[in-house]
Amino acid sequence: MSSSFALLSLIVALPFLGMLFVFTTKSQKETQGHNAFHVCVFTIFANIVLIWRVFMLINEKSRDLQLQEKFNWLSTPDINIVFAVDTFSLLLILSMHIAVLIGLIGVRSNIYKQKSLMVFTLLFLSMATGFFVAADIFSFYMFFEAMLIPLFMLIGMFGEVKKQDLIYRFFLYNFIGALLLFSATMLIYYYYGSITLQQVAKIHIKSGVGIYVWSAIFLAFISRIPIWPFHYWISSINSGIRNPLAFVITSFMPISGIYGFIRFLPSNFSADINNYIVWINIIGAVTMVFIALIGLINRDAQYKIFSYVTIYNIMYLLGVLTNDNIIEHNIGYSLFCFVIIVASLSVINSYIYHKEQENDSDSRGFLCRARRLSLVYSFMIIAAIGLPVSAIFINNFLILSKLLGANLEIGGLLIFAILIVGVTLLQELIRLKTNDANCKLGKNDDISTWQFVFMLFVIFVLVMSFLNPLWFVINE
Amino acid sequence: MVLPLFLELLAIVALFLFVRHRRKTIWPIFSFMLCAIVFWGYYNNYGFISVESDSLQLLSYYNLKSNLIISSGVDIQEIIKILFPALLGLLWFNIFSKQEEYALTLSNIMILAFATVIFMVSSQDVIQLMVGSCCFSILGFYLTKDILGGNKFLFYNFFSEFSLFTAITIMYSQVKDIAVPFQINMLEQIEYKNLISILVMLAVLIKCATFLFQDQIFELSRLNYGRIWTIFLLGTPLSGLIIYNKLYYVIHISNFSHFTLQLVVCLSIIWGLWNFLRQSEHKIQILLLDMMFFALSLIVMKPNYSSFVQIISLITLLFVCNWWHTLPTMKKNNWQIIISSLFPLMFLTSLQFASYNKEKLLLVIVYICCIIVRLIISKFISAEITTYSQISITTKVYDTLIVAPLSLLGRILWLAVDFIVIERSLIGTISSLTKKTTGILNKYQETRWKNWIIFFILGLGLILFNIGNYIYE
Repeated sequence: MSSSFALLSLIVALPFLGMLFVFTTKSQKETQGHNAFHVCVFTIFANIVLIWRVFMLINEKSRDLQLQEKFNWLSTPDINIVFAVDTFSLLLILSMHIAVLIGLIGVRSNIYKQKSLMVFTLLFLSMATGFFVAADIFSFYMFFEAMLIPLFMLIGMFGEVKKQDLIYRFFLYNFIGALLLFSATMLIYYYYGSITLQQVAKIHIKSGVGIYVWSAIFLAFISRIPIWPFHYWISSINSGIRNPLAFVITSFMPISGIYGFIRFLPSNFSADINNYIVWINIIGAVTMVFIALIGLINRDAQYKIFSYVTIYNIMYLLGVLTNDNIIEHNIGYSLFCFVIIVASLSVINSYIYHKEQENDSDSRGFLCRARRLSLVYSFMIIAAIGLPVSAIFINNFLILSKLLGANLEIGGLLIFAILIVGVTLLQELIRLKTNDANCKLGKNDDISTWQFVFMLFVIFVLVMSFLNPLWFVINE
Repeated sequence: MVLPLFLELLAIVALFLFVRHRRKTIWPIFSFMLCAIVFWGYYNNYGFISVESDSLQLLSYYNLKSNLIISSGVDIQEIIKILFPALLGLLWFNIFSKQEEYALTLSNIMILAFATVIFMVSSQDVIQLMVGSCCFSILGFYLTKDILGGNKFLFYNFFSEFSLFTAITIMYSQVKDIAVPFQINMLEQIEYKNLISILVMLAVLIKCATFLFQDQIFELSRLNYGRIWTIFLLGTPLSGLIIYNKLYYVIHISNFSHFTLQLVVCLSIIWGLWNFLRQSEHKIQILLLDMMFFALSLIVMKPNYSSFVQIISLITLLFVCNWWHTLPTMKKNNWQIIISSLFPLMFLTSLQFASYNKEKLLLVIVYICCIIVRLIISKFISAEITTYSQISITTKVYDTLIVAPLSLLGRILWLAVDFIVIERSLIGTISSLTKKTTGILNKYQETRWKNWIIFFILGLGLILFNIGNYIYE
C-alpha cells in the first residue's frame, strides 16, 4: 500500500520543524524557557494526532510495511529512501511520543538550559521517528546513527554524568556499532542494491561474507541492548541520570536495538545460527538474573528502574529471537505500555528526588501524605510488575509461554529475574508508603491537579490497552 | 440476572469515588442502603435460573481469545444469596466503627471485594481467574497498607500471583488452552506435572495463609475488625479456595500433591491450635481460628460446585462466630453494641440456621470447644505468652535462607562481574589499547626526521606494490 500524501515524512519532519520553532522562541529570564516548552508540547501533540490518523489508514492485522513513500536520493549509485510502517513501528512511535510528553511534565519547572533541552528532545524525536518509519537499508542506517547526536548532547548536558570516561565509552560503543552496521549495509548494497527491510530477511550471501554481514549486524544492534558484556556503559549512564526526560530518551536506545533485530532477522535460521541463538539466550538469561539481583540490593531508586528496564528489554530481545511473527505483535503491544510505564516511573521518581533535595528530607512515608501521587505511583508499580492492569500482563504471558515452551530452564531464569525485579519495585513502593514521622514532605508537596489529571489519562490509556491494545484505532 | 447485580455494585462504588468530606458517617450509611436495595431486588428475582451466562469478549489477540463471563448459574446465585447478607453485616458494622477514619473507603473496598468474588467464581478461563486473583491481592494491599508489616502481606500475595502465573504459563505453552476446569486427559499428557502442581499448590497455600506462610496474617492483628473480617470473608483466602476449586485437577496431577497438601494442613492445624491455646490477644485468636478453618477446607473441598457452596456457607458462619466472639471485647456503650452488632448478629445467625446442616453444627461446636479449652488453659497460665518471637521464626528462616543469599549473590555479582571483570578487565584492556594506539600514532605524527623517513618508505612501498600489481596484470 502506498500513500499519496507524504504522511510519514510529515511525522518525521514535524518534530524537526518544531525544533526550528523552538530555536526562534524568546528565551528571557522571566519566561525561563516556558515558550520553548509550550512549543515542544504543542509539536508533540500535533504529531500524536497525525500518528493517530496514520493508524486509521493502515491494516493493523497485516505484517507488511504499508503507506510506502519512495524518494530517489541518488541516481548513481542508485539509492532510494523508502518510508513505510506497520502496526509494530507505529505503536513504538506513538508510545515514544507519549513517553516524551510524560517526561516533559517532569521538566516543566526546569530552568537549566530549558531551550536546549527542548531542541535536542525534538531533534531526537524526529530522528527516532525516522528510524521507525525507515523501510530501506540506507535510511535505516542513517537514522540509526542520527539519533545518537541529540542523545549524546542530552546525556552530556543533562545526564549529570560525573565521569567523562562514560561519555567516551558511550561514543566508543556506538561508534564501533556504527562502523559495523555501515560495513554490513555496504556489503548488502554491493550484493543486492538498495533493498527494502522486508527483503533483507530473505537475502542469502555466500558463507564467508554472509557470516561477517550477520555478525556485524548482530553486534551493532546488541551493543545498544544492556546484555552482557555491553550492559556496563548503559547502566553507568542510565543509573546516574536525574533528568527524567533525558532518562526517558536514553531508555529508547535498547528498543532501537530490539527493533533492528526485528527488521533484520533472517526469516529462516540455519543450524549454525540456531547454536548462536542458544548462547544468546543463556547469556541474556544470566544477565537478567544478575542485573535483577544487583537492582535488589541497590538502594538507589533510579537503579531499580534501570534494572527493570534492562530485564524487560532482554526479555523482549529473547522473544524476538524466537522468530515468531505472532509473538512480535505481542512484543509490540507490551512495548507500548512498557515505554509509557518507564516514563511515568522515572518522572515520579525524579519528582520525589527533587522534593527530597528541596526539603532536605528522606522521602520514606511520603506517599502516606501525598494521596494523588500515591494513587498514580501505586498504579504504575502494579502495572510495571505485570499485574493485569495494562497490556503488559497478557502479552508477557504469551511471550513467556513461548520462551518456556522453547526451553524451560532458560524460561525459568527469566521468570526468576522478573520476580526479583518485581520485588525490587515493590520494595520502593513500600518504603514510600511506610509512615515515618521524620519525613518533612507533606500534603503540599503532592502533585498538582493538572498533573494528576494528565496521569489519570495515562492510566486510562494503560487500562484500555489491557482490554484492546489498539482500542484507539477507528477504522474508516 | 447476576450481571446486572455485578454492574450495580460497581456503579455504587463509582458513585462514591469522588464525594467530598469522605470522613462523614452519612456516606457509609448511603452505601449500606444502596446495597440493601440492590440485594432486595436480587432476592426478589432469585430463583430465576438462567442457563446462559452473560459474556463479552474481554481480550482478542491473534493467539488468545478470552471472554469475560459473569455466570447466572444456580451455584453462583446460591453463593450470592449466602454471602450478600454477610456483606451487608460488614457494611453495617463499618458504619459504627469509630476506628476507621475513612469508613467510606472501606465500604467501597468491601463492595469491590464482593464483586470480585462474583467475577472470579464465574471464570471459565485462566485469564479471568488470574485477573480476579490479582484484584483480591490489590484490594488486600489497600486494606493493609497503613500498618507496619503490611508489606509482608503484599509480598506473600505477589509471590502467590507469580507462582500461579508461572504454572499457567508453563501449561499454556503445552496445551494452548485456557478453559477451566482443564480436561483430565489433557492434563495427563503435559510435561512437568510436578512443577506445575507445586506452583499452583504454592499459590493456594500462600493465599490461604497456611503453615510456612502464616506470617502475613499476624501483622493483620494491627488492623481494625472490619478490615480483618473483610480479608477473611471476602479476601485472599477465599480467592485461594476458588483457585483450588477451579484448578483442583491441576494440583492433583502430581503423585505427591495429595500427601504434601495433607502434611501442610496438619502442620497448620497443629501449629494454629498450639498457638491459639497459648495466645491471649483476642484478634490473633480469631486469625488463628480462621487460618485453621481455611487450611482444613483444602482437604475437605471436592472439585464440584456444591462442595464449594458448602464451604462458602461455612465461611459465613465462621464470620458470624468471629463476630459473636468479639462482642465481649468491644469497648462501647451498651446501646452502641446492641445496634452495631447484636441486632445484625441475631439476623445473620438466624439466616445461618435457617438452612441447618450437621457441618454447620460441627463448626459451631468445635469453635466453642476451642474457646472453652483456651479459657480453661488460661487459668493455669498466668504469664502472657507473646508468640511473636515464635511466629517470626519463619520470617527469620526466609531472611536467612532466601533473602540473605540473594543479597549476597547480588553484591558478589556486582563486585566480581561488573566491576572486576568488565570494568577492570575488559574495559581496562580496551582503554589501554586505545591509549597505546593513540600514543603510537601521536609519536609518528611528530615532526622528526625519523618519521619523515618512515612515512617516505611506507609511501614508496605502497606505490611500488601497486605498480607491481599493475605490471603483473
